[in-house]
Amino acid sequence: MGINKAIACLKAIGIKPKVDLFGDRIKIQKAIFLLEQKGVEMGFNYGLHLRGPYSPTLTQEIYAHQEEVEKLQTHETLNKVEQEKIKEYIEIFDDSEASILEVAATYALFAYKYRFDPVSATKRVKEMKKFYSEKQLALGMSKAKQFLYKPTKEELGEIKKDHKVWQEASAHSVKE
Amino acid sequence: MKNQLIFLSEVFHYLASLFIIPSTPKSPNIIAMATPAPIAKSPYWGDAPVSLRITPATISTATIPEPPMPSPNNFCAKKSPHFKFYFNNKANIKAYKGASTIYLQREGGILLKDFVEIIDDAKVLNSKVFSLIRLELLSNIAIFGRDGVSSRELSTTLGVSDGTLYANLKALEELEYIKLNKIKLEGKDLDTYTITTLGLEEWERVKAWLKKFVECECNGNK
Repeated sequence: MGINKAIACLKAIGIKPKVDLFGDRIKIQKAIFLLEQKGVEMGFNYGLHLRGPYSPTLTQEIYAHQEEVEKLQTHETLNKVEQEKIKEYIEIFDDSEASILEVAATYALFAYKYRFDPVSATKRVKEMKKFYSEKQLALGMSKAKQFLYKPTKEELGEIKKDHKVWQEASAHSVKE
Repeated sequence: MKNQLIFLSEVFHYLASLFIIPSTPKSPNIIAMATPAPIAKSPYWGDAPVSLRITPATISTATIPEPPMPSPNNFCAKKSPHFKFYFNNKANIKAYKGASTIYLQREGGILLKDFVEIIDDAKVLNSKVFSLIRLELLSNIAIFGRDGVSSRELSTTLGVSDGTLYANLKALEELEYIKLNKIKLEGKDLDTYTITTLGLEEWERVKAWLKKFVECECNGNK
């Protein structure tokens, strides 16, 4: 838990941050938030601030352990499930710029933490991040959905219903 | 918040009007009083003028004595759930020199003693910080600590024009409460601001004072 686990995550992702760089600090904040949302618990308490989700405690910890963070030194290890989640993160967010992570994390906060409907979440993100281009906003939000979207029971039912038609058609063609 | 500050200011003027009366108490035991109202006509929980007595012992120990039995001329506001006091009824109130502590309570739980303390405490605050925009800026920049926050984030979130934003940021910078840093992010030049130790100290003072004010019994929050 805490900064050690966060370092383990950064190491697994392949981010080698320079703590003095503004962009790198944004990347750490947002990556850790997105992973926490995915279920990799690190115990950082994120609130909604003008930059979207933000944890002042994480910032304090990053500065307090600047050397460990930059050298990715940690005794913490990740379990298999967590490693899978990190793998998924890398597939979706690999090499993403700070702006994309910022948009993604802000959308994730509204849509998945606060449970806003997608339209309201999108609206809030666009209001908060006016200074980003439409392309950056669209990319960030779509990556957040890709990473965190979980269909509801109803949606799963709908999907199954849709699939059933195709399965029956397929079974029918096999019989013929 | 604005209403609370207006209210506080009204109370301040009211208290000031009380303390500038340089009269001598008619009785050494009475340092603050209001015109008594006949209890038969105006029950003490009504909105009529009421009386208040505080003994010198009360002042020196700054504690409130156990409430005596209510009477038309003598009762203590504390612990009297029915007590009401109306600030607007200034004409019926007299305060005498030396009345450094007045205990009055009104419906919703106003305790004037708290106000006196709050006003005293306010003397250590920097009045230049006391505008909504500057408080918002200081609080938002303080949250981000050493991380800093960009002017574009401040402008978007606070919904103020660039002119207003920069004028106020400049004022806080001149007070040495915040520091401007020029950085480059994804190819763009950005102005970011971080709070200084001086700024953080001032913000902590303001926060503590505001907290005290908001939590004061005067706001009916109890």
